[in-house]
Amino acid sequence: MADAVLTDKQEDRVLVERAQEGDCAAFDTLVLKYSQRLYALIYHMTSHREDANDLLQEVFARAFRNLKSFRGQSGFYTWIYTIAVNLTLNFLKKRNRRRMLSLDDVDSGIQHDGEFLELTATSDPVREAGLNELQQHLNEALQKLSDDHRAVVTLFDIQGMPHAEISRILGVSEGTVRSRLHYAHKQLQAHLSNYLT
Amino acid sequence: MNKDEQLARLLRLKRYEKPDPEYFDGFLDSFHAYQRKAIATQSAASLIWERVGTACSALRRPSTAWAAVGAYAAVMLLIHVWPAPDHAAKTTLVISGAPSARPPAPTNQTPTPETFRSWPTALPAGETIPVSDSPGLKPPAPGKRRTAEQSQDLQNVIGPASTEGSTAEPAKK
Repeated sequence: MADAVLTDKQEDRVLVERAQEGDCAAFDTLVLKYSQRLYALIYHMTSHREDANDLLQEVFARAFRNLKSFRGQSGFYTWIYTIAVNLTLNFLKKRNRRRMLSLDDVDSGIQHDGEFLELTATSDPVREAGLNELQQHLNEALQKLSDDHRAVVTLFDIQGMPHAEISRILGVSEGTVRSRLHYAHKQLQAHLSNYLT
Repeated sequence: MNKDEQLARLLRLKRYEKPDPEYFDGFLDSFHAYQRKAIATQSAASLIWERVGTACSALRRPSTAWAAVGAYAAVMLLIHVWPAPDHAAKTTLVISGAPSARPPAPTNQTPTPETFRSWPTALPAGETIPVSDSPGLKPPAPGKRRTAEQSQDLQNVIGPASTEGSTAEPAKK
């Protein structure tokens, strides 16, 4: 596993160096490699598909424009995640100032993925609730969290990232990450009590 | 299964919320189109601002960078804007007007520099009061003592010696 991570980082480093020398195809490879993970991150923070699409394009555009300033002190993965989180948090601040996201706007379309159906079938409360209803409630509960708390929940619970990596991306201590997670979990448990036995 | 585990399980379900597979197939093309459009429309100033912002975020702790900028600005402000210490403000008023029957009323007002300029203030060591400029007062001839009348006239002009350090308001002309 450690070897795989190391190889992944080395591969990124080579691609970044090539892209810094003007090889656009190398950057395209990085785009293809990270687009799914970054889309998921932004989507879970915004709960809005169109916003996620626009922000994802902007994240890669910024990364490309600032690639020369990337010195490799952190991994490319951490660097581009930092850009994505900061850009999304700024966007959410502006969106919250302009208007609160209506719960009707919260995305309610879901993929009827086989693995997803199998997972949901093992939980009684989840099975009793409709899938769309469950997703709606999950997104509503997440939207009730502050932007910072939602970012931590997205990175840890949904994307499965370790605390140390989250602290590097957000630029806060691991203690702060744990504290935000604890608070966010308490809030989510209160909002989703119908699904927890 | 406790509530924390149930919640973690529920949140993991969100991993399955994905766009259609076609979305990622066409993403690269739409990204290239977005880049071309952005380059054509973005101003040079916004590009510079964006690069500064990215450089700051690369420092890991943006607050440190902003704190350094703030501290530098504060120091420069102190150096350039803070007024130079006024010599007159450090001196002590030792000359007062002619003594009146009632004691001088205390005041909280800080004398303005103009007041100090129009009224003599401190006496540097070794300097004498130019009493010869005062009307009706003549300096004693060398080697001769002042008469009692001359001493009283001098007291009326310069006041008693114990007024040093007083903040008494000077008498109006």
